[in-house]
Amino acid sequence: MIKVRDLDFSYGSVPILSGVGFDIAPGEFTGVIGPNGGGKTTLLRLILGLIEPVRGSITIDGRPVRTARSLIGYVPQTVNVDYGFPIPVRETVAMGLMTGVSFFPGFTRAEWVKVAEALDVTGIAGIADRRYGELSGGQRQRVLIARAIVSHPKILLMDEPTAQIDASAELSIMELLSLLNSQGITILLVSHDIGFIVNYVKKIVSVNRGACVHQPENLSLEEIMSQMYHCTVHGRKE
Amino acid sequence: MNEFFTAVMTKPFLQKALLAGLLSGLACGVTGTFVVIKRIAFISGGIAHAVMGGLGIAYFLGWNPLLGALIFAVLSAFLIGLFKFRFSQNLDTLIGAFWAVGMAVGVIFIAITPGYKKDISAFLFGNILMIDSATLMILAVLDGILLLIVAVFYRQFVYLAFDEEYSKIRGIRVTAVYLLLLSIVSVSVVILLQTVGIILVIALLTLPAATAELFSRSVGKMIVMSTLICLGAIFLGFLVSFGLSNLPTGAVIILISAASYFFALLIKKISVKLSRRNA
Repeated sequence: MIKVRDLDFSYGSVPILSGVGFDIAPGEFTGVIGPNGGGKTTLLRLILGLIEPVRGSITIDGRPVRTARSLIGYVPQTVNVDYGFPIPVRETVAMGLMTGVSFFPGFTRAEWVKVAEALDVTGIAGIADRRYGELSGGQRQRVLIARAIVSHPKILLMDEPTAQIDASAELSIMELLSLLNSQGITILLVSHDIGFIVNYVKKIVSVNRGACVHQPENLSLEEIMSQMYHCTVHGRKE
Repeated sequence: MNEFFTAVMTKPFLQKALLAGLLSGLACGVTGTFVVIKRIAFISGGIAHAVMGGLGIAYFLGWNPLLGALIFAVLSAFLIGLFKFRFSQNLDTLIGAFWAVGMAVGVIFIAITPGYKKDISAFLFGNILMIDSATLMILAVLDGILLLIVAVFYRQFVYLAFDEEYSKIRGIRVTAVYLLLLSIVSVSVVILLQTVGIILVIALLTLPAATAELFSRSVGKMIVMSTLICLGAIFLGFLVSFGLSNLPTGAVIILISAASYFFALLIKKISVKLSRRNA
């Protein structure tokens, strides 16, 4: 369970989020939407513990974020490396098993088995030895998803994972996410494409400095959009 | 060539120079790989040039110049690393300032040193043939420290280069690992000073590794290939400068490294075109 309570965040004197609060239940597939600059990515970075809130709290399974990172898998929008960066897909996925105290080269045999499983689940076992930089946008996203799930996290946080890929790759990524969700992984997906994700998610959190929670099956797209733009500071609605 | 090998067998100064070349090749191959994949060539250039300040001060105080160089190199690496995280928007300007101020301090201290004025071209372009046993020993110790650090932190360096933010999420102390990476760059700069000098050191830290990157599928393989290319360039540099009497060895090593890089780039382009045509 992710609990966000009365969250305030600002960059210097510029308020980004104010009074944000919502819950994500275990196994839920939630979309986070909102206008550019509304605070979606900031919210994700707060949940990841990369930045600290000015006020309020976030807990994951009752634990503060910093001690709950092992429960989270994270998929960024993209990892921009040069074409020639010499890291094979297999090694990129293994990065998800790294911890702050992993010294000396080498993973155990059991860890490489986990990597092989993550490659299988995401359908990229056939490109395990190719360099990450050589891959298409859709293949790169699958690698980043494999990296996120290799440590068997309970929660998957994703920051616009389909923003830079074509429509068919987007469709196959969303189907992969639905499959992972059906296996019990809680997913929090930041996206600008509300029309697309509404077909997959069970809950929508719209963020526009404040936050509102919608159940998409009860509302039309227009109603969600309309509520989203009224979801400003302290304008929380359920 | 026979003449060269005969000279190596009989002249201790050439043996020491070759040993220094071997130690430089290790530092260049290992550290150069991380300089290239983390894209910190400009930062490394800043550290290399800041070292001149340490050399000048050590010379003025009558210390071993390598000690002054090492202190300045590590200090500038830490300061540049901290600036990167605190003042990232002005990083280019700050590195440029380190680059120029280091050189200026070095030149001033050498100028005000009483007595015989040392020719600063030995600092700027290196002189591997003048290396003595004590310096060789220092280089061996520095190489050992460097290899130990890379052996322990190999994966942390690779992941930091690939995805800094994700490394932080995985619990890696990104600032500390980044500062450690810059520290091994500074140690390598000191090792390579004697071989190619301050001005050319950045070429030896980038060209062989960039050549290796074109044909490597993993960072480990890149390190091995880069080290072999460095050693090849240093050995060939000796051979050419020895055969063409009195050409400066450091400059010849750099020209060979650059020629290898451009040749490798050409080969890579041709092979990519051919594979696309056959696909």
